Amino acid sequence: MNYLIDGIKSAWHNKKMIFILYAFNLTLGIVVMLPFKTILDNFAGHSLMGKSLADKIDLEFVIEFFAHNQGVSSLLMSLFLLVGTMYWLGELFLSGGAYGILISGQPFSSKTYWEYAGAYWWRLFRLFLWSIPIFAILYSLQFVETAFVRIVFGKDPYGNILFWGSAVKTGLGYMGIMLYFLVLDYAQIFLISNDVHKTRHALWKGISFVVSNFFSTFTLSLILFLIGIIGLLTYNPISGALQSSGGFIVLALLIVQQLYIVFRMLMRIVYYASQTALYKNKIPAPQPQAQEIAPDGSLLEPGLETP
Amino acid sequence: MTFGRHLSILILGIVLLGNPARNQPVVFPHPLSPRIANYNIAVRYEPLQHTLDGHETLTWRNTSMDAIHNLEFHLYLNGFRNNKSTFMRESGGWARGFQIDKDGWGYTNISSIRISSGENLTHAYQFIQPDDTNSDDKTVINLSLPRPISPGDSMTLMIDFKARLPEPPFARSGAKEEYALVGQWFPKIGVYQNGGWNCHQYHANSEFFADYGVYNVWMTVPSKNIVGATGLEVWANKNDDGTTTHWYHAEDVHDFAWTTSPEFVEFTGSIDNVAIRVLMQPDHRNQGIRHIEAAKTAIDYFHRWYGEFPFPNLTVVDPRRGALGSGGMEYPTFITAGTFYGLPRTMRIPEDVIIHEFGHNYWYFLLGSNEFEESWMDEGINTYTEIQIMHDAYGPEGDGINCGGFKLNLLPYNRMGYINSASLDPTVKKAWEYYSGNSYGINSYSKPGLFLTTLQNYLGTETMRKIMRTYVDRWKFRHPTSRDFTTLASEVAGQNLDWFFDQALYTNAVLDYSVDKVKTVELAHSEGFDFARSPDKEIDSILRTHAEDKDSLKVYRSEVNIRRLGDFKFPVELEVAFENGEKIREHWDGTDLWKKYVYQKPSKLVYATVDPDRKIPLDVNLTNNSKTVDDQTKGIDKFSFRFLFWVQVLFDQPGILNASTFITNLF
Repeated sequence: MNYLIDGIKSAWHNKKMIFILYAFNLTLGIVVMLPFKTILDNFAGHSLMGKSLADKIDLEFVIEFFAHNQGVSSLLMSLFLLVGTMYWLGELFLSGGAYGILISGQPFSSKTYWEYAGAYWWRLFRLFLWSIPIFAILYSLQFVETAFVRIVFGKDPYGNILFWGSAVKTGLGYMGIMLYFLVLDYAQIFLISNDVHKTRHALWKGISFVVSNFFSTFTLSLILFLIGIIGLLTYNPISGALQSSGGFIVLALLIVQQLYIVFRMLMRIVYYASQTALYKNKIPAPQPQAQEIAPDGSLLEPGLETP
Repeated sequence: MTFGRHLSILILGIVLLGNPARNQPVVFPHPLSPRIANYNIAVRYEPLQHTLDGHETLTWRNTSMDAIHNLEFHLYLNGFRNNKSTFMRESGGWARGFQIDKDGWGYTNISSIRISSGENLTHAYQFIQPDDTNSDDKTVINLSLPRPISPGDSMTLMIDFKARLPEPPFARSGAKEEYALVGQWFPKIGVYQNGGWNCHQYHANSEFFADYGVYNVWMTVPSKNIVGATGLEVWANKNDDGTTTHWYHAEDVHDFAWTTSPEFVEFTGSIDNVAIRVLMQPDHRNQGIRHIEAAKTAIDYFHRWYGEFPFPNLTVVDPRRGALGSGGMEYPTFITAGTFYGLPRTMRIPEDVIIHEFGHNYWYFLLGSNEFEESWMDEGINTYTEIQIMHDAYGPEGDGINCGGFKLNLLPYNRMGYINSASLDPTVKKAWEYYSGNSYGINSYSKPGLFLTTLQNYLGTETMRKIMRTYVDRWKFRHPTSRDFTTLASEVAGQNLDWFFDQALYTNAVLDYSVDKVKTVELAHSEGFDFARSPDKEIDSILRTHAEDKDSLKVYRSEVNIRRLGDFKFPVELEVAFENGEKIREHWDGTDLWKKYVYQKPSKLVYATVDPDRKIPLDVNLTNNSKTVDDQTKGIDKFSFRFLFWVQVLFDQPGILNASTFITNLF
């Protein structure tokens, strides 16, 4: 819990990072939304069906929209995948800046943030590539259930076994994803804390850190997950209540939606900060300082001059 | 198969089939149907091989005016004999989401055919292919008779056959482990009609056609097995070899199917003097009462809306896991449903399937239409009644699914399929001649469901129900055609409906009316030569006739252009709304390509909409039905904001919460 409190404090001190993440998320979201809005406007901008969308989503309209705009769904999906990939690469970049600030303990400044982001991006990207097999292994955890059912109940289990088995399988799938991100996050923290270039080494350190501190790392992750659930449970009834077609309601819905996105970005920074606090507590290590970034992007040992 | 078992079937046949009329019970003292094709079948099921050893005695009556020199029979299970049959070629080996297992081929082999006088006709038949040139297809045989059957005479044939069910159940019929759904399983005579045999091959996109009769069927299965079948069980006798023979008797039906499994869990109920028996899989036993209730709903609605169900019982079968290829199928007094463990009550899949399959007991089994050639007369009319009943019983919102904020009615569900491929084919076509399987489905199910609902909204619910009730009453136990139905509909409605049915049934015409243009501008004062500046007589006159708008000093000229975009002509209503709340309804016969309406009023036009009450679900585009003068920014913005939000949430990876966030905020 102390790590969480430290994380919240740290996130608050560096709250501008929340808005960097949010602005990035919103900008790319709008890139996908605008073509959709244009097509929608052309299709229903002067129809009572368009008017009824202010009340609630009319499934019949959605069906018609895609039936009479064939190709739109594939266009939107392509755009989503393209922009989504850009988003993911950008997020990796931004997380480097955030971790750099949080690990160094320096107060936020735009210059420092972007310098860290630039310095670590390529290494974080390589780290991600090396982590893919780890993801595959952890994600495959869920197939333990498949094997168990096959061994215990044979090839032809009753429906109730399949039903509850699939629930367990989904849980294991989620667990695998959580564990993967734990490993990746602590590998990133190790990489930035120690300014290492060997990303496989960082990945291994991430794994060994999570394994040797499993209870604390997993508990922290679980608490943050539960806070996320509480946020969702708070958001849902509020947005659900904003169903009428008044102009104020439409605006209010937009505000509530965006506040929820800001909350998610806050949780992301809290997550980074809490993990960093935990890591520092368990393994005090040399920390990078903003002024020691070399022109090639790597971090210098304190006291050494740039050649 | 051992010699002893052959012997037991033979003895059973001699004992029970010697004079079945003497032993059989009577359900209907006065026959309801012409009873043309009457079967007594003794069959023994081998659960390990999924084979059937059968001895069939068919008594066929010639009700035509012709002397019959040959008979034609369906051997449906030969559709699964190999991958070269017409069924397998057309389906690509897939049906209802299933493929036949590597060694799961089915077949029907005839080992002997004799007539009652003792003559052996075993070598007098040949396979024929009346629908295509596929000589590998063995689903129809032609049997030459040694002497013709005169009009009014009957002939009795004894046919020994061996059949194997496909595995897993594939295209309605088959076996999986201990479970078997035995449909289309015996050599079945075609229908002699209009001077020839109507006996089509088994196609991927077709169902069936048969004559009515009386069935006595003795099914021998392992004693631990439970049996359900068409008709009523007369008795069940245990045999010495660990088997039990179940005798089922059915009158005035044109098919017979049965099921067996040692695992069935039985539930019973009744409504309107119809006994309901539900055979559930053990892992679905907690849905047994739900199935009973759905069957009661089906019987109750059909009884009240479409006429009496004359049969005393109904059996509902829940197919085994991995055997859903046998689910959602209809036989006389015997239907199969389909469910999943954990299916919430708000997802009304079993209810919908049971109401649909029971509906066939009216539209195919009381009305013996030809599904090979006019599939809409069964599936389409049945889809229409299914939409109506589901809406009344479980609507008005979410009559199909009403789960977690997700609401789906059957009517838009059927529109969803139709509007994507509305013009591929006319409705009436031979089932295997449609553009694709999808087009067969749309024209056999969705489109008729939509155009009959449109017709109901046009004629009124009571008139439509009267049409359906009269149709059942007049044509039950006969073979109605599309023309019979449409003629009757015109007669009962008191107006000629050919203009509607000719478009709906025999063309691929699409119905699409739209408001093309709306315009509202202030009426200019009369100017120029011949007009004084003021007062303007025209404006004054309009203001005087609209005394209710006494505060208004302006007059607006509003124009509404509506268009017929499709070839389907149908009368439509137009609603025109003005700023002062006034709404005007116009009626247009819809035959021209467009029509313009002009209004001069002291109030601005707000919107115009055709079909304001959504009475025409056949219209393929409801969005262009209306046009507003002002932009509908609020609705578009709100929907776009939602879309933006979903994209933002999905971008925010890793988002363990993403899936739930997305789903719970979708509606």
